[in-house]
Parts: sequence; C-alpha cells; structure tokens
Amino acid sequence: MSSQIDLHMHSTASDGTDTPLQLAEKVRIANIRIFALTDHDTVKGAEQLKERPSDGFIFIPGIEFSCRMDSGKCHILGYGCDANNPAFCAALEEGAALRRTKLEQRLTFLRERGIRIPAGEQERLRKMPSAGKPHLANLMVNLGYARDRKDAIENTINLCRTGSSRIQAETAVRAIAAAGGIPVWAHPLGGEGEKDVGPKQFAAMLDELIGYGLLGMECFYSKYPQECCEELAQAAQSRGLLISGGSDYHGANKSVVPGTLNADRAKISLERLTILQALDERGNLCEAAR
Amino acid sequence: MTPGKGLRMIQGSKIRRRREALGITQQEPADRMFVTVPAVGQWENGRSQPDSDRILQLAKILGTTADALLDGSETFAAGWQLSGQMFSEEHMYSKLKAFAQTEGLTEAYRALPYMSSCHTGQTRDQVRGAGRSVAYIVHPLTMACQAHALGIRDDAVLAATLLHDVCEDCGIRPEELPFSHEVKTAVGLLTKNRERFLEVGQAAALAEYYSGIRTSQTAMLVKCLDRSNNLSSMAASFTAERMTRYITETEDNILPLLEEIKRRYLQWNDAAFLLKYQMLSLLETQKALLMGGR
Repeated sequence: MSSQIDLHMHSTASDGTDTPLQLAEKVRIANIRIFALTDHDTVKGAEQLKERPSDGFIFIPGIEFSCRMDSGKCHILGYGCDANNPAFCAALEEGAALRRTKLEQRLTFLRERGIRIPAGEQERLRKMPSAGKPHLANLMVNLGYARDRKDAIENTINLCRTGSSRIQAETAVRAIAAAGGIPVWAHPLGGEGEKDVGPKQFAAMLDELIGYGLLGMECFYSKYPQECCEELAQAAQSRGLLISGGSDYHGANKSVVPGTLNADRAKISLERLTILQALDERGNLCEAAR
Repeated sequence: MTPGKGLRMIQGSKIRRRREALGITQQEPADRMFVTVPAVGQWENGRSQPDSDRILQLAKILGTTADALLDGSETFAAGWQLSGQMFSEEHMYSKLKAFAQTEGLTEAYRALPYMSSCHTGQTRDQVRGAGRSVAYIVHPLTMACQAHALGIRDDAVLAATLLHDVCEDCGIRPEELPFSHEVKTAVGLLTKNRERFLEVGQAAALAEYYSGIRTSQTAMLVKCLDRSNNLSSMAASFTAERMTRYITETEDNILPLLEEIKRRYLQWNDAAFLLKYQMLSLLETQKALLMGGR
C-alpha cells in the first residue's frame, strides 16, 4: 500500500523519465497528498511545478545534491530552499562546473583515442544538465565504437581519469540551510544499487554531516525493509534529527511506485515524518491548488 | 541440535475407544507391556501418561499409530496451532542489521551474514502440528532481538549471541572465528565439549562448563538469553521427560548465573531482571502444566 506522502522523486529535469507535469499527474492519481520533486543537482523541474497550480496536493520544492566528504560519498536532499539565494546558486553552479569539466575531460580522452563524436552531438551533451557515462556510451554504440553500453563503459570510458563531479557535502548542507531549507541525508544506509553502508562508515558520515548542520535523515526509503526504517527513525530521533521519507521514484528508470516508503510497502502515516512539522513551521509548504 | 520427538500428550479416551473397538480388556495390553491393569486404567482416565516408548508399544498392540492416540490440534476447540516461531527471520535480520549499522556495532554487523551462512539449511526441533520446520537462524536472531529490546547495546554480547551456536553446530573451531578475542572466547566457553562429557561424565563436565562461562560476562549473558529462548520454545517440541530435566537444569545452573549477573554487572541489572521474570514465568507455567491435576 502506498503512503500519502513522497519526499524523494525525480523528473526529466535530471534522470527520471516523467516530465514534472507528468509526475504531478501520477502523484495525483496515486492519491499522494504531499510530495517533493528532488531532481539531482537542479531545481529547474521544481521551479516549473511551483509556478503551476494543481489538484489539491501539497508540493514541496526540493533538490538532491551529489556530494563527497572525508568519510565517503552521499546524497543530500534539500527542502523548501529559496532558489535565488546566492549561496544556494553558488552550490548549484559549482556542481554544474564540475560536471562540465568532467564531460570535457571525457570528450578529450575519447578524441585522443580516435573516437570521433560529431560536433552537434557534443553540443547536445553540453546542453544536458548532467551528461554522464550512459550518454557517452549510447553514442559510442550508435557510432559503432562499442558492442554495447557495458563494453563502452568498462573498456573505454572507465579508463579516463576524471575529477569528482560531486560538491563537498559541507557546501551542500550549508547552502541549503542558507537558503532557508532543510538539509536531509538521503538513503543513509545506501541507495538503490549502492554498496551497503557499514557501521563505522555510517557513524563517521553522520558525525561529519551533523557537524555541517544536517537537520534530517531519510529514514523511510523504498529499498529498506520496514524494520530497518524503524531503526533508522530511532537513530534519527536519538540524535535530534528530523525524520523524512521518499521512494526515489525515477519513472521507467526504476521499478518504484510513487509513495513507496519501505520495501514492505507498508503505509506510513504523515505524522511519522517529523520533517513536515518543521516545514510547516517555516511556512515552506506551498500548496499548489489554492 | 537433534530433532526432538515432540511433547505429545496421550489422550486416554482415544486408548479406551480403540481398545473397546478391538473388543479386548485392559488385561491384554497390561500383560503384553509388563505393566499392571490399574496402570492401563490410569492412562485411559488421563490420570497418568505412558512414556514415549510405551506409547509406541501401546499403539502397536492396539493396531494403530502413536499419532492416532496422541492429542492433536483437532482436539482444541479454539483451533490453536503451534508455529514454533514468534517473529519472521527476515524482519529480525533487517532490524538487527540496521541497528548494527546505525549504532556502530561492527562485530554484530559482520556476525549476521556469517552465522546466516554457517547455519544455512539447518533447522530447529520439529514443532508438533506446525507441519514445517523452523530455520535454525530464527533462534540466534530472536535472542539478539530480545537482547536489543532489553537495552543491551554491547557489540560483543550481540555478536556472541548471533554466533553462539556456530561452533557447536557447524564444526567451526572458536579460534577460527574471524571476530574479536572477546567474542571468540565467549563463543568458545558457550560451546559444549562433547569429549569432555564422555571423559568425566555429565555432572562433572556440566560443572566445568558453567564455571567456564562464569569467567566471561559476555558468555554469562548469552547463556541466559539462550536459555530464556529455549524455555520459550521447548513446550512445542520437547517430550515431558526432557522438559522436566531441562527445567531442573535451568533452576540449578541458569538462575544462579542470572543472580550473579545482577550482582556483578550493574549495567545489566534491568536486563537480568526482565530475563529472570520471563524465565520464572515460563518455569512456573510449564511446571504447573506438567504437574497437571486440574
């Protein structure tokens, strides 16, 4: 059974397959009352939805920053940020610059190996918000430089040494807070397809993030069994962190149904997500259908 | 762990009906089983229970199976069934794993997949009427969840709880366990040395076993958790004789161990109280049921 809330969803503004408007329609059909659009490293989709009145649900503009820190890689969600805040804009721009540099490093690497990507395609990649390995691999396959995507990635693209395109977690957490938003650690025990976060790493990452001003933790997550979510909620509570939850819906790119807040598909009531009270107190809940 | 025959109570009325259907007197089974006629009468009246060997013998004489003479779920109007398992292993596993991850319990975190692979395919005592066997890991997982609920956050205790049977049941030597010295020592102390039992006899070996356990607070606590869990599940699988022996052994060895924990380790005072309360309740209930007479 789906919950009536989903605070972690992606649209075509990043790597989802639904446009923001299609997503809003799916949310309405799924009877979700409160949802957030949290595209990777961009607020373009969220800004679009913010403008547009829709049917009765509450929409929270969000973002998911890809981050690195001393103790590991992580994703930081931000809710209710002022997208015009200078620190927030600077963090977005820093990520965009890192991704541009990384793309150029890869394009140069491929050129040096005799792989010719037409100028038009290169421009198309440069215009994408986050052109990564899959996009380059698709091109290589289409142009006949690789048997399949796996071949392109493993035997060619992965040989290119690039810098990280992730911004520092500290930058993300502080930028979200500066923009009046709530910084939340996304899927703290590991996201879909990621390695499990062990006890030592979890402790180190949590301490580090709390040190930067982290305010919440995504305890309810589509991939985690219900019992696991409950343990995370206890861990969050004992450290004074807000409890959040989301599905990490990506449309057709992942087989997750909107409103799925645990692997057992148990319904989670709105009161469990203490982040809502905090968002309400800050006046951050913008109801799209007023 | 060897599969038990299950605690089955004979139903006297079933013996009588079967005997009368065959048209024989109480004399015939009495003679063939070398017991007195009043003894057979007492079985039929439900005033006493034949032991498990005699049940088989009696069934043969009456041309039926032991199962047909024993009570079964159909005799319970309430339609009760024993499950042999109180909590789902998947839920317990996820809970403990997330707990270990979020509380920095590195050994317990590693012990989960380790013990799970060691006990793969192993099952616990058959539960009567359950129609399926219970996966072995349910036992250590339940113990660890209980420890967690008792407020025990100690990494070594939780890891030793999860691993306590891997040496005894999976042929791994304690010193080979890829865990800390404390965990290895505790698991080693908790593992019964079969050869020693043959060498010096049951009583002496048991005394040695318990005095060994007393040298490690981790082993002491795990032993009590183990017994508490076994007492919870034994009525579904032990014979009455085995239950009686087990209750006596618990009173002789485990309750003093709990007292010692309470006295020596203040941090576990509450946990020891709750364990004691649970164990005494189970002992009291099971003794009352075994004594019968209602």
